[in-house]
Amino acid sequence: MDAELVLDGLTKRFGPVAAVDGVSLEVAPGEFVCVLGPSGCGKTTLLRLIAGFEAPTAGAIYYRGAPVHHLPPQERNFGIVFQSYALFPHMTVWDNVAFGLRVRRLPAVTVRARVAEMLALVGLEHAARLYPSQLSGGMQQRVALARALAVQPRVLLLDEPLSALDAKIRVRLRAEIRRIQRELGVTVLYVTHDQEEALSIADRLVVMWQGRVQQVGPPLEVYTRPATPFVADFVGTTNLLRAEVGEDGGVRWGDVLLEVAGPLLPAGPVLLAVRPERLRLVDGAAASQRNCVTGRVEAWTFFGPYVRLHVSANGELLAVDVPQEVLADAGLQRHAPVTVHVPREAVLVFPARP
Amino acid sequence: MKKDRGLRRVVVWLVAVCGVLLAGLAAPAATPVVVYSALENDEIAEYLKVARQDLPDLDIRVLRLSTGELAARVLAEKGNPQADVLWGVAATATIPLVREGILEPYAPKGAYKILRQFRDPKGYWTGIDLYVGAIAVNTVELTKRRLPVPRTWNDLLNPQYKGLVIMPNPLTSGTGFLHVVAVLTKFGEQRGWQYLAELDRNIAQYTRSGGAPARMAAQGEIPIALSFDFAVLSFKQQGFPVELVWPDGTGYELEVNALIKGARSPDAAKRFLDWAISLNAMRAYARWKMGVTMPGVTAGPHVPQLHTVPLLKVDFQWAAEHRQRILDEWKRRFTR
Amino acid sequence: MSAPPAALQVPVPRRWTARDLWTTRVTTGVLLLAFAVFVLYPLLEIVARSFWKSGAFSWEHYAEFLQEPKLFQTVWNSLVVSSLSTVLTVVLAFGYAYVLTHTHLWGRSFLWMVGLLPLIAPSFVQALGLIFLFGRNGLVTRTLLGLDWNVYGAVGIVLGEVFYCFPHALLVLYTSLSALDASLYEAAQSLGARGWRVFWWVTVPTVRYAVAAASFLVFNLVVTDFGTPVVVGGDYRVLATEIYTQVFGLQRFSMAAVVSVALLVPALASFGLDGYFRRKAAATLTGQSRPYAYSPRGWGRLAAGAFAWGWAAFVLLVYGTLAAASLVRVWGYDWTLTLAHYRLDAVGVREVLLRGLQLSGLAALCGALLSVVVAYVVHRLRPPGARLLYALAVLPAAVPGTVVGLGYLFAFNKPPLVLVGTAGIIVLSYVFRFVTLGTLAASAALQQVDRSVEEAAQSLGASAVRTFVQVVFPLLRVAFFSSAVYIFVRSMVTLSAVIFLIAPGLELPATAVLTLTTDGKLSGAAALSTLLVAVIGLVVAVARVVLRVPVVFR
Repeated sequence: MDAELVLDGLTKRFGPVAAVDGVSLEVAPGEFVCVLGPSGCGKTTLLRLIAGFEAPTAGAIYYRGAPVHHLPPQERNFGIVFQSYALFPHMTVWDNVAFGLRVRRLPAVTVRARVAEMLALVGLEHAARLYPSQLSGGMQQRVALARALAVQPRVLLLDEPLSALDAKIRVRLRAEIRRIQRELGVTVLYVTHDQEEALSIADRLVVMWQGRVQQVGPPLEVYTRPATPFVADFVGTTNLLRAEVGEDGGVRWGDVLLEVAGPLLPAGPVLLAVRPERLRLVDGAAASQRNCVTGRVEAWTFFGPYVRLHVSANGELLAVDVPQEVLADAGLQRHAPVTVHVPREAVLVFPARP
Repeated sequence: MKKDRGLRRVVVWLVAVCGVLLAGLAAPAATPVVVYSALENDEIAEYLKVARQDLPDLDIRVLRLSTGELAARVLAEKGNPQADVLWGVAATATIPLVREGILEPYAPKGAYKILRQFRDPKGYWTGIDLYVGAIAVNTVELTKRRLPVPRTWNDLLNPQYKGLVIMPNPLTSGTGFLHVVAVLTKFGEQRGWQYLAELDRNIAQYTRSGGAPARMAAQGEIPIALSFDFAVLSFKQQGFPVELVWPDGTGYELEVNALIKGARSPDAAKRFLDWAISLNAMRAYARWKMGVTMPGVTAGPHVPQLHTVPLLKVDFQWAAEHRQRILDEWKRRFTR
Repeated sequence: MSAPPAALQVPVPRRWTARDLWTTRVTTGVLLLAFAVFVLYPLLEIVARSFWKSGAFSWEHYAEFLQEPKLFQTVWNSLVVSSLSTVLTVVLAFGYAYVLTHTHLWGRSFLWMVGLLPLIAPSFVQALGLIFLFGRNGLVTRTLLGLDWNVYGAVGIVLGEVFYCFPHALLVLYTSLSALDASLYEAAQSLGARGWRVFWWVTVPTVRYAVAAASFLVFNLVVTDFGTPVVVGGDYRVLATEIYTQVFGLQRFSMAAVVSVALLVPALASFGLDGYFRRKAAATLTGQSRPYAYSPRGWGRLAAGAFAWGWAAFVLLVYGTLAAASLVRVWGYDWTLTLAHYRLDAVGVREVLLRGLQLSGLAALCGALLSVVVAYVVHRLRPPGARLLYALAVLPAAVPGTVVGLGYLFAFNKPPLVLVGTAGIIVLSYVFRFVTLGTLAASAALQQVDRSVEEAAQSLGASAVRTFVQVVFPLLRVAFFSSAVYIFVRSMVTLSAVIFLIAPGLELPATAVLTLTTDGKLSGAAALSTLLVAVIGLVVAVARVVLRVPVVFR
């Protein structure tokens, strides 16, 4: 299958700082790709490069094989939805949606039909004559979506579209965005810093950090097999442990020898990544067993269905998720000694950062 | 129906308002004739009523300037004259303009009716009237201060009048220049300047306009003012406690009309100049002025007869020739 | 998967379409040309004239200027009245602003309005009012006290200028004082500071930049003001009026140019310093603050009330006097009521007022539009030359009106552009003199507009022109109208530049007032001034009510 959108070594420097640093990516037609990263990682700049609001310092953007990075935004026909909605406050909802169609000088009949269609798509037929200031945030963002989609863009770019909304509306709207995307089959590039949102909505994730792509892959793969300690830490929660690979190939975390799955690294310092939900509390009697560590409960955080224990062990603080009834059953106290089992297949080994 | 009505309405309004404002700027249909005049605003308003009756198809636009300002302006506009006509400007200020090449000779229709001594033999200018220097005295103010009424030039030097005399600045005002010429004529140049230096000690302020001192005296702002005839008279008629004093050796000035070289509408300008010495115009002037240059037209009933005034023998030609030198000297000595 | 061609040569990336770039460049070119012609060219013409003597470069005019003691004296005079007025104005305005922001004094919104009243009056109007109060025939000096003292001269100028500049200083100081957060005071008081110490420790350090800015602003206003000294200055000569005298009284055009250059130095310096301190002051402002106000007791309360209400009463007295003077036969002499002064045949009241409204209205719309376009080009399109354009748009506010007038007279009275004598040149002088504030207001408003709104339009395919017309301009409507109102008011009241430019059939309200004053028809001048202030007040009020436009001044 031919790629719809190709980024090739895209770089943007602001003075000495590279906001986007050699990003390459291929997006398939109809694919929903999420760019995920902490604020300041360059994901918004990447989106603005694609939209044409910034000119790349180096690299190229291709749409169906043809370069587009030299084109101004007007000539790219990429729809964009902003975090701030960016509706035209002096125009009604109807006029907002019709704007791009009128720019294209479509006949009035077509404009009317298309606007009606779009408003129906986002469920805002009744609000056509209202002004943006009369709408809630969620409704405004739907108008923005309808406006961007009305002109049948080649690619839809969404820049943190839900960040300004309440948690509940956020969840509902993101499902709706996904539905509309499937319905229209439009290619989407979606930027967010919210990993839960990204995991739940995307076909594929692009994790960015410090202007570089850290990992590209389907959400499950990114979650279960993070490519770097950063990805492991940023996507979901991870215990990052400083450890050592000995001359004998054994992994030593403090004075505990851990058995791990997967290929081993050469001798030297390493980082171990273990998700808290993969850790288990085991009977104290089993303490001498393999891959078991003893420690003390320092604190816990209640998350509803489960509880996250903060266990100090080996001089580090280990997050361990346990079902909340376990906590109740065990009748744990603060400073209570516990034994944690680290399953060998749960441990990922990364070379330590220099 | 779903157009952005608000914006469209605003734009339409703005365009409409701009259009109306611009339309107002467009020139009216009548031929414009641009007149620079040193006559008083009140006079001009009266004369123009007559002029507009006699010349209904002309759009007469008058800019009133004090004599000095008028001369400056005409000189400044030499390359690009804005005015077509000078109307009622002191002869002493107009004659130097001939040498500057600013005027165009033109003998208006009926010029022969004007006394020969009041028109230029080469036709550069034509006189219309005389106006006479006068001292305005506010009797109430003087009585309040227990001061005598000044009767002569020398009376004005009375140290008791310190700060109570006002006169127009000759640099800007034709009346001011008239008085300076009168003093220089009466006392001779050397003693004249000495006299002016002594007078300077009593002067409260040199005003820009020649009519202002009369008004200030009438309104009691100052007891003694050097001004000119009808300015003082009109206040007296209105009932202000102001008296007219002719000093021993009263100065006067001839006011003349002229055509500007390179006038934009020379034909209209000439028609205006013709009108400006017509009988109707002269009769209008005579309601204000003590003397007009057309024999047979007599001054109004409330205007004093010219022969009752102790007039000096003023040499306009001399005054005009030495105008710049006199002004420079005055400026050097008395500019504050 | 399609491998893109490896070494494809692509054109330089662009943020705008080829057509947009073309329109942007043309617009910028036209704007730069317009500003060069109507702002720079007249100034350069003045500088050139000041150095030109019979066809060659020469210092002679300057030597002459320095050698003529009376001429050089004008520099000193200007500096003296400007400094005195500055100190007085800033002290008074500071006190007034302090009372308004820091006390619960009764009627503060009324006091605020009265304090700003002089903004809508030409500078010479307060001078006229002062003449009726303290002149040779003044109500106070002659009628009440029987004095021979009169206001003409340096004293009159200073008094008039304090009146005229007070609201300008008040605006700056009020903003700064009202931004002082109450927590600062509470902190200081909890540390044991009392009374004057709080003032010295908290108030003064926070507002010192605003005080500096206000001082230089007032200095600039006074040193460039023409209306006040020409009406009440008597024989006291200052730079701004000297230019006029040199031209119209003495016909010394080169000397007028030299005096203009001499005036430009303090004017530009004080303008620059005003801007510098204003930026510093803005940096110290916090976004949100809780106002600090207390109810002074005993003597403090009495003093605060007496001071604020005293000043307000004085302001009202001056304007009231003006209105009263226009209604009696002879002020100080004959108190019979009359409407005769409103029948100004020689001036033609109705034509003059209508012409003023027409030309100012046209200038207001053109100037406000120009401001918004300049702001959009400079801040959003950012073509090469944008910074230069911005600098040229800010420059006019620094140039004294008399200098502008003289420059226009020099520059546009000869080919290639012969404009003197037309109404157009008056409108142009208004537009290019007052475009600065409009541009600043539009720029500030533009910075409030979320940039992604424009980007949304752009990504929907809208050109730069369409984005401006359909998106940006509607969002800057408020800035547009408030700039228009500002330019309208300033055009109606300005005297200094147009005094050089009026032609027959083109007299304006302000110049007519001056003519009446120099003719000694003070009551007529009072009548016309009263009408003028009333008309401006009406327009401002209508703008506020109908267009709901906040009116801004500098």
